[in-house]
Amino acid sequence: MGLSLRLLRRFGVFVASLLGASLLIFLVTKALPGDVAQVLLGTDATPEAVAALRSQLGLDQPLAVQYFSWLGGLLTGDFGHSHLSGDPVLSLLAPRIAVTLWLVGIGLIGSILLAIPAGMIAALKRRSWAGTLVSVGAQIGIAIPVFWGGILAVVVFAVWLRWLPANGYVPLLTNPGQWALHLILPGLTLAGVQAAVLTRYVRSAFLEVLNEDYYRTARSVGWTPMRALLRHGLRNAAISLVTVVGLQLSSVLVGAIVVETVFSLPGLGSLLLDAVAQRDLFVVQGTVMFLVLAVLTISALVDFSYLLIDPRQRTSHGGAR
Amino acid sequence: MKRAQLVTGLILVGAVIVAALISLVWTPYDPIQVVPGQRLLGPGWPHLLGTDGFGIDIFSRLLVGARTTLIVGIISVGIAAVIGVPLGMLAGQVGGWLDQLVMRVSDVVYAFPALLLAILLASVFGASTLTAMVAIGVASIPAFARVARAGTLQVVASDFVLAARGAGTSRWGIAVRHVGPNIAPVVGVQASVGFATAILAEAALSYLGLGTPRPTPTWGNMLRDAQQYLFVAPLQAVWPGLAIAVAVLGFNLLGDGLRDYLDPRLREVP
Amino acid sequence: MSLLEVSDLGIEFGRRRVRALDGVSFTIEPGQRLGLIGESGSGKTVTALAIMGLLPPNAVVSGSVRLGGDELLGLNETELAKRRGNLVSMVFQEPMTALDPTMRVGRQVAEVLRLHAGTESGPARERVVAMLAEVGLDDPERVADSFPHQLSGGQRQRAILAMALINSPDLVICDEPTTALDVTVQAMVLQKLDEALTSSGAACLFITHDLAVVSQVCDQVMVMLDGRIVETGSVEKLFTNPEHPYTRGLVATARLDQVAPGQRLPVVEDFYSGGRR
Repeated sequence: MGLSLRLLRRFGVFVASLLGASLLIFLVTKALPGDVAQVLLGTDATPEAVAALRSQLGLDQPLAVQYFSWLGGLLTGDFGHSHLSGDPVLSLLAPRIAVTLWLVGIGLIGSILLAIPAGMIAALKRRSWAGTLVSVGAQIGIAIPVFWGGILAVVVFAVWLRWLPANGYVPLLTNPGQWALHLILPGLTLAGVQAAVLTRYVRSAFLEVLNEDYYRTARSVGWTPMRALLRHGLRNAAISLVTVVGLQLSSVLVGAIVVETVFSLPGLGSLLLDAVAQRDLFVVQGTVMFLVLAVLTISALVDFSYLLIDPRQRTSHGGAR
Repeated sequence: MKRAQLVTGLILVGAVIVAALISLVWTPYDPIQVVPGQRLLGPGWPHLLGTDGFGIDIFSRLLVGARTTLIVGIISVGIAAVIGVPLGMLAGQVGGWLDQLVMRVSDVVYAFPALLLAILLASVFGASTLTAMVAIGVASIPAFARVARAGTLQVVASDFVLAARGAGTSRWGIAVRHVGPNIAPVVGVQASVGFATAILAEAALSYLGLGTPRPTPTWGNMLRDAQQYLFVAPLQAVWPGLAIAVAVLGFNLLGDGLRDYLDPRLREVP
Repeated sequence: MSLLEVSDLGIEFGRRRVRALDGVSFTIEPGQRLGLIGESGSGKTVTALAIMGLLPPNAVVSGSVRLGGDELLGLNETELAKRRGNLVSMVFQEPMTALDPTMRVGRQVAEVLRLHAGTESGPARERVVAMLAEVGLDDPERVADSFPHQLSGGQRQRAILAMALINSPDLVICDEPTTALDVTVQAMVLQKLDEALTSSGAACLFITHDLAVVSQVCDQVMVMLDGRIVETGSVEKLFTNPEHPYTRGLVATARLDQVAPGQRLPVVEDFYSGGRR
């Protein structure tokens, strides 16, 4: 199969997933018990007011029409409006995206930077205490809920040692130093917990490399085990890890939402949870849709990058494999 | 070494189950009743692990929390298995467009984080144990469907199924007599690992206020309460988290150990 | 002094100490080509890996392996790595999987050169292309710029041969280098191997299960059975006057042209069936 066909196919999957996810979100919100307009206005609203709101929201239209007009709105960047403040959802999201993005970025990159050496040690030294220690540590790390990890980090570094702030956020442009100080604990918490999960994948990817003939060839021409693994294993392991990192993305995002709560960071997670508490249905709907869109887009991009790492995918005239 | 994994898993899971069972008949103190005069006591006697911000014995709440955790785990894994396994078997046995459809839909659900689904459900129906269980259960369906499908494909391609088919056994008969028993072990492994995932998800939801609300104790909402007193009584935030970690570790080890025990091919080569 | 001196080499695997090699002794003189023949599982590859120091970590090795006078057993990784690819190199059986699929072939060959010599990239490239041409690749420039999956099995095996020979090692170990190839390609690769060994003057330990192949490359042959060497001699002697019943079986199965039409083809078991574990 040629590269362009693969890309096209992957793009088709992306569009289909997006449609599926939007339909799911739409249907769940439509399952609200009782009349949305009534719920929004409260029980003492006049029937006229309820009817007016119904037609304003398009609730008197057939379900299919409602779905497609919502979908059409999404395509033009209209993610709905808060019924409490009347603000468009996107304008509520905009000032908070940076916080979540920093967290996701630090969490993802940090976890990769931690997991690759850890996984390599776990694979290469699997017969000695060092490898066992890393494997056991990863197993325990996976069992630690990210919010508890965050709470423990606060107890140790903010309560006992008083090195770092326990919560809050300062924008980068306001004060870069304070910005970094406030992101260290949440970022490392997220990275640490994610790294535990990732380490197991890295370990098994490298274990596979250790059993490959080309690794033996590399050893036979004079590379030491560690250098053979770095030189010829990293790229090959990366190919199988790219897909894993893509899947990790959604768990990093979820982790970021939770970590925001632990450290009272004003990101998308706190926006969502506030909206749930106030039952601001359209804000929840719009924000969830936005996050799902982000996850699907990035995982599609990750899959595209997969095609760039593996030369076997790039060329269409494949050999005997 | 591998056997050690299985045994450790069994011990940890056993401890959680025993705690839940004990809580059915006895707890040291009332796990719900607020006692104003006894707030935020440290660990000691008679309150083994101290009391929380409402003056309730933490150890008692931990025991009851084990029960909530197991119930949520059982029901959400149940939802996922009851829907996912037949879907996966169907996809694997029938193949073709049905297979494609099931797998693509499960991809979509898989990409949809359980937490976002729970948030959506909580905003529509109100946060409760039920919405949490449904969200976790639905989000776990794809994992079960995949495992069941992969197992089914393997069984269907095997010689004894070909022989059975040659002898005129119907698809249904093959599913009941051959596929079911043969994929049961892998589904069991997935159930154990899925249980661990469910415990983590439930804890996160309760912590965020999207799952079981107070006063019913869960390990997640105990941490939510404890966080208010971090500077006064930091130890309070240790116990429920430890309980979660023990339960998750137990089910993960049990699943991994079971997998290695059942499938010698997965044991590491020298 | 012999180039390679193996004496009383014994190898056991795992906690249960499964014996793979028992009291194996032989020597290889500079420039000598020694064949090692036996069926799969007889311990040929294990012998090769022991000389390379590439046995899996659960192997227990006893005896002595001396290369150029230095004892190899017990040397640390760094010392062994210095020798591998430089003094002694190895060609493996599986050309399809023995090259890194993510790296261009030329770079993989150049890497071996640079690893031991520290040559700059300019001259390295020239030497790589020259080496690829020497092992009989028609279009060495294109091969150097190809990824492994773009080459045929025979091309890959010759690229691996180039990796093994580029540092002019004293000893090249070939482990069934042509078994995975088509018969026509086999003959060509063997011929190129023969030429390359001759021009560099390297000694060779040639492992195969095929007597016909060994006679094309080697003059001396050892026969291995169940981890022991049961017979040693010149190729000629082995063909005309095999002593061990197992060797007689091997010769008979290799000389199918001498079987009268209509007669049942001979198998090794006709001559030797005892002592199998």
